[in-house]
Amino acid sequence: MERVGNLVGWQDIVREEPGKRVLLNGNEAMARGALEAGVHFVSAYPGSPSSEVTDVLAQVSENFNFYVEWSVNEIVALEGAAGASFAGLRALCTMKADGLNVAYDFLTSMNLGGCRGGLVLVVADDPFGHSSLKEYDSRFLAAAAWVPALEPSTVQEARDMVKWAFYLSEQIKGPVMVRSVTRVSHSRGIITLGDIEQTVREADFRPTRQFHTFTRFHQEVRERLKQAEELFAVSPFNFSFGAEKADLTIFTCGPGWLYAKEALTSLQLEDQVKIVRPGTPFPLPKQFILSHLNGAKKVVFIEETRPFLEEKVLAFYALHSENLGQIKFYGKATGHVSGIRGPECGEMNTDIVREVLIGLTGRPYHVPIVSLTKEEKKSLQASLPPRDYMLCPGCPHRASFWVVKSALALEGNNGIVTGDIGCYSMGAMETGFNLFNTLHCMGAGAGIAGGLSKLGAYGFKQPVVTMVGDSTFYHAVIPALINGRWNKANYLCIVLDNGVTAMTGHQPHPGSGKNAVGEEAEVVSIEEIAKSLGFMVKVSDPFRYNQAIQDVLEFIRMPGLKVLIFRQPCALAASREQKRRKVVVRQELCRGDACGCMRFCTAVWGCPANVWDKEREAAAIDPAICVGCGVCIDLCPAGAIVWEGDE
Amino acid sequence: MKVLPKGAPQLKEEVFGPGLCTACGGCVGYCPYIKAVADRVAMIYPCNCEEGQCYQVCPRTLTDLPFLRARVFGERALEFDKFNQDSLEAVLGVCRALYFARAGTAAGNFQGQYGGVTTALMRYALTTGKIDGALLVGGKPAQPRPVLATTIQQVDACTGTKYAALPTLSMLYQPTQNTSCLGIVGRPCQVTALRKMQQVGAGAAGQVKLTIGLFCFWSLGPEFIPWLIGKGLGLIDKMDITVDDVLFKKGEEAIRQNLAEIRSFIKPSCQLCYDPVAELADLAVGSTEYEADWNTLLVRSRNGEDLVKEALQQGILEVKPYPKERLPLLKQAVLAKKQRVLQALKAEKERENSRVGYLNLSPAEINFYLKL
Ligand SMILES: Cc1cc2nc3c(=O)[nH]c(=O)nc-3n(C[C@H](O)[C@H](O)[C@H](O)COP(=O)(O)OP(=O)(O)OC[C@H]3O[C@@H](n4cnc5c(N)ncnc54)[C@H](O)[C@@H]3O)c2cc1C
Ligand code: SF4
Ligand code: SF4
Ligand code: SF4
Ligand code: SF4
Ligand code: SF4
Repeated sequence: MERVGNLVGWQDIVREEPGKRVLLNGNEAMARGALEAGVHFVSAYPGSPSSEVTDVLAQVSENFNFYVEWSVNEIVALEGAAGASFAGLRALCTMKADGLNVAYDFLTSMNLGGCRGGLVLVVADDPFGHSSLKEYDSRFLAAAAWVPALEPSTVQEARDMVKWAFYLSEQIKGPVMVRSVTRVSHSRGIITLGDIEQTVREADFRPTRQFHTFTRFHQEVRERLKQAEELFAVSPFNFSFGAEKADLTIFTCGPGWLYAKEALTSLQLEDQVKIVRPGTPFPLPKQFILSHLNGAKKVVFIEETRPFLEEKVLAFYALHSENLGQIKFYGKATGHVSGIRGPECGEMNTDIVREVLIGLTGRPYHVPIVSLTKEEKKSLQASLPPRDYMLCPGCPHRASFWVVKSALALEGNNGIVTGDIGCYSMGAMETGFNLFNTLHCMGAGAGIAGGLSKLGAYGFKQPVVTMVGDSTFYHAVIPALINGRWNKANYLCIVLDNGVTAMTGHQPHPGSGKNAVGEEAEVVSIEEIAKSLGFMVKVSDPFRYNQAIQDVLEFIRMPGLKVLIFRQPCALAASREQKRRKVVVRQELCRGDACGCMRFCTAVWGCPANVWDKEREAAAIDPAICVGCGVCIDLCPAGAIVWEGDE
Repeated sequence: MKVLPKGAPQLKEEVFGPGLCTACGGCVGYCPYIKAVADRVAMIYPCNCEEGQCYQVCPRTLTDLPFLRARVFGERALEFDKFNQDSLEAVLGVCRALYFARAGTAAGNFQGQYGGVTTALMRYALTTGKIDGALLVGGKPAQPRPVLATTIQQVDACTGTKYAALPTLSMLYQPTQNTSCLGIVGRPCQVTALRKMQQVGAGAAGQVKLTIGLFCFWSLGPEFIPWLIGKGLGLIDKMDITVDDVLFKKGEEAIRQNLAEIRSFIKPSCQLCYDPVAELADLAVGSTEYEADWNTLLVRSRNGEDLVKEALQQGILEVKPYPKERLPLLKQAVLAKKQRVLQALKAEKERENSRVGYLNLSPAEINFYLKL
């Protein structure tokens, strides 16, 4: 039970009694919600900011006797959860926004035939892309799939909504989605623990029951949505705040509710402005919305990412404008609500709300803290280093990138590298030597490589390499490899095998030999899979720089599709397990800024533990973070970096 | 020596970019930015150093030949304004003696490419302690690799010509295993690079006391070995370019191939090479294109002369006069190459009158060749 990552209160979830108030983050609260609903089956693919929901449930599954798995990808996870639901059990499936796309084919199909036991899908969006490559709004996907969606604003609500979603799902006999965002999943709040549902259910899938996907079921889904809307209308999740009657009304969803409230309080506008907070964006309860549009003159929309609520409300207004009179709308679609990235991009915050309110009310506002002039702001911004992504000290990906960078330079002919999703997406950035030419979604690298390699007839001669993570390999690369084998593609697939799904918090994967709850599990070997598909396969160690380059060169030149596995445990995971040897710099040998090095270790190699000692004008090692991988020892041209004791 | 204040960006632009790297290895292994694997050399990451050693030692950046000749041969520098068409040195460079030569009876038991002069001399220098290591190219023609030989057995294992261009000079940046006096066998471009390295004190270049340059009109680029392997010739023991074809030998088996196909692998850098006979070496060795068991041996420096004299006395070497009727052929071959290159370089870009392309030559030298 060691692997707890950034969980704060998971132990309280198990230890504390109902009625107790505990500090949890939003993901832990959603896990608690599932527990209180008596969840039986949990499956997920990790992805920030959603991972901790299942991380926590995996920790506590022993105590509560339910099933938890990390699945190989999101669609498999959702299919598994649906199986449990078909058999009458309560099932939870969690994923990040990107994962919803992967699961979407099944979600849209399964929603037609519906399900039986409560089936709840938690999808966490990442506005601003704090830990994602794209920011987008899964409410639109819920709507397109005709799946009812709830959207919590607070940690407490996150728990309440997940719990209630099981009830709703069983009422309407279809899946229900809970949309979280980073600021809900990762912020902390006090919640009061509720009772845990204790009813024992037996899984039984009656042979006469059928869950099918046919066009005619669309009518049923439509009815289900009507039912959901009715239940939403009487749920506690839609409410208003502030002035009873007001010209100026804010419609808000998700964490926008907190920003709106804070902005109102700080501007002392509580008695002049009304806030309307629907927690059930799809299907949006029409009467609730219309009743609050009634009497409003100006309406402001505050929500995360895209104008979902805004568009729905505008559509209601369009149908009822005769009764509602003239209303002016201010939102993202209208361009009025906008952060530094402009409307519809980036994250919402209190300042954005305040700015809109000041504009509309003319209410003076004195920034309570020190106010900065424009120049001061500018110079402050200039002094802040740009946000730079960094691979961890001793990260094997850095070595892998350097190996491939070197090999492709040596091979010549402008080799192309197609990248993929994971920590190693940093291969598209400075810290990864700007190696990747393409970066899209899980599995895309191999598919693109396959396509490129078929362009010989059009004169394409460049070598093509794709770099994929181990977890990504299982998740989405295998079909692309089979396709490549079948269609005689010609590229090199390098699998970066560090033994875990590192980016999302070191969850195990099919190659780890452990499952979600820490039991021993069969290792599904990457090399065995690749070999069985008929590929030339070799395992190489990216820390052995020269050998690894030769392996890449040898494999690039072989015809057809080849698989090279760069195996080296994730530095973070490994450094937890073993004590590493200490590395030091013999500063008298260091060439520093001079030709012959040009500060290679700090300026190019870029391991955060390679640091510059300004006083001595020489490189040094930060012993606090060096994990002792020893790679910089081999790369230092002056032999200045050595193992301690070898000086 | 004229040294331009240029560095890695210019090396990339002037040498790597246009494909003019000869794979000499002079810039390889000193810093982390330039790397070689087998016969490939590349700058793997942009180093922004504006004044760099790589640029200074490269045989394809500004090369001040008169200066280097003077450094190696002192007073015997070439005086092109006094040469006429028959002058031997005008075409072949500084030359104290020219022979047909081969390994003598006391040289030892090995099979050289032709007369085995190169191996015989390196062996001898090593046994007599004149050097304690020899930088050679070992392995079979399809698996060549740089070797720092410190024993006779290791020297013997390096006989035979490998037509791939190996960046052997890179080994001068690796901490040598207790060697202090080195001998080196190299292609002419490597000899030039070595001299430039000695000028700037790069790596262990200062340790090199004996330089045997091979005659070389071209070497083959990195696509050659995969081609060889593709032809099923990956395990051949010997390769020889004859007058009209290429001969591969595997044990007793002999396979002949058309020269034209192999020519397509000639490195672009060789098309602009001004020095087919290792002008800056102590000794230059080539084939005779006449008698298969003999070499052409050109004695250039005093150092080289001393070694040859001693080797003759000891029966390590055997020589006979260079046949008079062959001399015009040799001179014509070298002359034609020099003229071709000068014209190509001149056509490429007209520069100040003492500079043609990467070469810094006296106006007299330029005139001498272009007017012949
Ligand atoms: C690329 C190349 C092209 C050549 N072209 C010509 C030519 O056009 N005309 C001509 O007369 N002679 C040419 N030679 C030289 C010739 O092939 C013989 O190497 C030379 O005559 C020495 O013969 P030997 O009998 O003394 O050889 P050996 O006693 O067998 O010794 C050969 C020596 O050359 C070294 N060597 C082998 N390959 C290389 C290499 N690629 N780079 C550096 N050192 C190497 C070996 O380490 C060994 O020490 C060329 C050599 C090379 C490497
Ligand atoms: S040994 Fe070098 S590369 Fe490895 S973690 Fe330490 S400083 Fe970084
Ligand atoms: S790579 Fe080596 S020589 Fe260069 S700065 Fe770092 S420690 Fe110094
Ligand atoms: S030799 Fe100097 S200038 Fe050239 S690449 Fe290396 S560090 Fe840069
Ligand atoms: S010719 Fe020699 S010095 Fe010049 S770039 Fe190539 S290997 Fe380096
Ligand atoms: S022809 Fe010139 S450049 Fe080419 S390998 Fe021979 S000596 Fe070097």
